[in-house]
Amino acid sequence: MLCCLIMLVSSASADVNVAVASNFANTARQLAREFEKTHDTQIVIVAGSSGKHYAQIVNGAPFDILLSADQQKPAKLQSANLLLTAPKTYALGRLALWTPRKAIDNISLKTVLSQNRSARIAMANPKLAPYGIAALETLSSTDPQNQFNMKKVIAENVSQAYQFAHSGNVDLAFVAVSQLQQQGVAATHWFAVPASKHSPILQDAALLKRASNNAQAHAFFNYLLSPATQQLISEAGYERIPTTH
Amino acid sequence: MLSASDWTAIVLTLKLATIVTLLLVVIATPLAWWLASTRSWLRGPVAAIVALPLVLPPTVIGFYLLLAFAPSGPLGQATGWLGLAPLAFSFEGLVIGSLIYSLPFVVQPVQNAMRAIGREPLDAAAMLGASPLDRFFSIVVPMSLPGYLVGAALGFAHTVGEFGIVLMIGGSIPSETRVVSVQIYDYVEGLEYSSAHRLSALVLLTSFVILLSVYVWQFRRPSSNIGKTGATL
Repeated sequence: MLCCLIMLVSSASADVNVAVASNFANTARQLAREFEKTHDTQIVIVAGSSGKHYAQIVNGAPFDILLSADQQKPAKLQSANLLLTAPKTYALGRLALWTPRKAIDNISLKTVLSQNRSARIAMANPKLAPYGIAALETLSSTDPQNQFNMKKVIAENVSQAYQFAHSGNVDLAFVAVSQLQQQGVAATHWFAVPASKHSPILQDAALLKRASNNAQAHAFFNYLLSPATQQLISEAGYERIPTTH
Repeated sequence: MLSASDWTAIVLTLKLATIVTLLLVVIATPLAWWLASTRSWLRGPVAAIVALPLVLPPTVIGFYLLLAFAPSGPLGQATGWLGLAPLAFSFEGLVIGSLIYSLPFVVQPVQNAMRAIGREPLDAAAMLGASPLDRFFSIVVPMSLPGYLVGAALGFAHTVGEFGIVLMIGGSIPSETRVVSVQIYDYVEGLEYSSAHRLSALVLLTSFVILLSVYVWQFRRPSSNIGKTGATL
């Protein structure tokens, strides 16, 4: 009985519920903690795949903000009339090639592939994840005829691609730069794929209608897009958003 | 109505479920018999281990399999030493995962059916000079047939529904590991809801028909063995 009362009281203060793409989850948590130092609210981060978040939001899940891995889901939410304002890009992802058990510093992408013929390479699902699309584009542009015979292992998302490589089940993986930086992976074992090799990985944020009376949600949304936060985000392994955006 | 990749997934799922069910019937037989007839103190622990997949989240099984299949893991080392291809992201890896995942669903009905036979028929046969092997194949197996049928149906349906493990160790490779449950999941993730509907409805219908036939058959059988098989569903 007492627990119920306590829970009721604590939920009375406006929380901000944020659905976050898995690849951004750790960064989002850091930013949330920073925000909470100067604002009287609790930011609740729910990590998961953007596809699932979208399905849940469309069916009434109580989120105030969606930090998607792509631009497609926020755009769909907008055409479904579920947003307060237009989606805004909050991060520009960077793709990395990682070989946990081999050093690859100072080697070109093509050379790495040629040294690993017929090896298994993990990537996020190109059908669902922008990091997967970028990975596929990179492979196609570097080795269009698949002469190196790479065996693509499709992970659900970039986190699972990381897991496959980390556990040793694949020798190479396309993952996010932010993941490798956060985990402190030795710099000799990965490098960022040149941005020219794939379309930009633009990650959009959406402010949902549920947040219309939630001033703290508006504040956090604007906080994410502020220059100071953008600086933090780029330090976490993302690119700065071009200011013309 | 269903796309070519849907049919590929369906065929793959049926192939997986059939192979796993057949293997489990073979594996379950000695295991169920030992559990049904032994008086050893090991019976409790072994029964608990067999029942583990009933309660463990599939992600736990999948996670440990991922580690075991890796070149540094026990199974990875075994396959490496035998010169076989790695088990992760392969059909064979899924078979192993499914054998663990569906084990109790086959063992338990068979075990209950065997236990319900009781000692009398076997003692009588022994007095008439039948060898243990003869007793097993002439009495135990035929009399536990209802348990086998229930176990096979459940094992099959359960393997068709496997998802968590496939997600962890599958890699979603068409014709290899992209089973129906993963195909549906990918459709939902990709916001292709009508494709997800079509495939989900098919799976729901098929599973229902399998279970319906098991139940209808169970309730229609001559009363001599009803209640005695104790095969729980």
